[in-house]
Amino acid sequence: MIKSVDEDRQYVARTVAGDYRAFEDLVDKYQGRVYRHIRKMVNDSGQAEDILQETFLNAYRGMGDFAGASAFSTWLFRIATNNALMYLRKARPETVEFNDDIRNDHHSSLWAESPELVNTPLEKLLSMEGRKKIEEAIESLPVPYRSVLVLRDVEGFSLQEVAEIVDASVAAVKSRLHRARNAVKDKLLDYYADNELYASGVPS
Amino acid sequence: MKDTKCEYFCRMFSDYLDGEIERAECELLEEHIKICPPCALRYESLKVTVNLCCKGLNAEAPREVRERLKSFLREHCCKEKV
Repeated sequence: MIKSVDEDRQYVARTVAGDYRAFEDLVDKYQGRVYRHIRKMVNDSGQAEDILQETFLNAYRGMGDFAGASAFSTWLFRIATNNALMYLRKARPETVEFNDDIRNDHHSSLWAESPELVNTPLEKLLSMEGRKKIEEAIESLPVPYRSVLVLRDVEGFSLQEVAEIVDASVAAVKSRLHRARNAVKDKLLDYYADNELYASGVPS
Repeated sequence: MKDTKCEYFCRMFSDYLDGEIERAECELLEEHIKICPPCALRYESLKVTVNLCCKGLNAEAPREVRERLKSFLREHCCKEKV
């Protein structure tokens, strides 16, 4: 992720000074990533769009008060995360809880070692089918684990920034990340191991 | 005893990928991976997983979503001053 804190500061200053185009530049810059993050959290594109609109509106209204204590991107993602969580707490409260399954499965996912993932060529892992599998693996995580993985590994925020966005300690973020990554790894290993059984019969 | 050592290092892989491990521990971890093929595989699998998460997800909102966002904001924001 390109560090562009100074560029953002200028856009914010110009927006507050009344330059709406500067705000639209910020929207253009962040809409994709914010939408992706919200969509990963709520697993529903219609709802994600509503939350996306709400998030940028909140940001516009709050920009006068945004004193620049944190980076604009962290502040924006925090608004997005909180809006998504508020929606989930009402609509699907069970997804927001820390799920014990991920704790119980963790030992086996830590231990799993099979070569299929490492031996599968990157083009296959990133094919349309492969991308679908990555998305499914991430979507299967409980929200508290999913959000830190998406913020760190998909959106590229630092551990400190992720901690600010989700309002947790860096230690908690590291712990959730460790479990989330191993759980995703485990799902992908299962998928590619199963596929290996059929791969040998397929003509190249 | 070997399993305990492997478990000890496996628990560090995620932090290691984030550059969060002290140098001395890094060296021990790297040494262990060199001599323990199952752990090397576990580490590489985790590394591939993180790499896929970085590369595997689409970064753009669909065009219609972008356009609706812009219209929505123009409608709501232009009435207000920040």
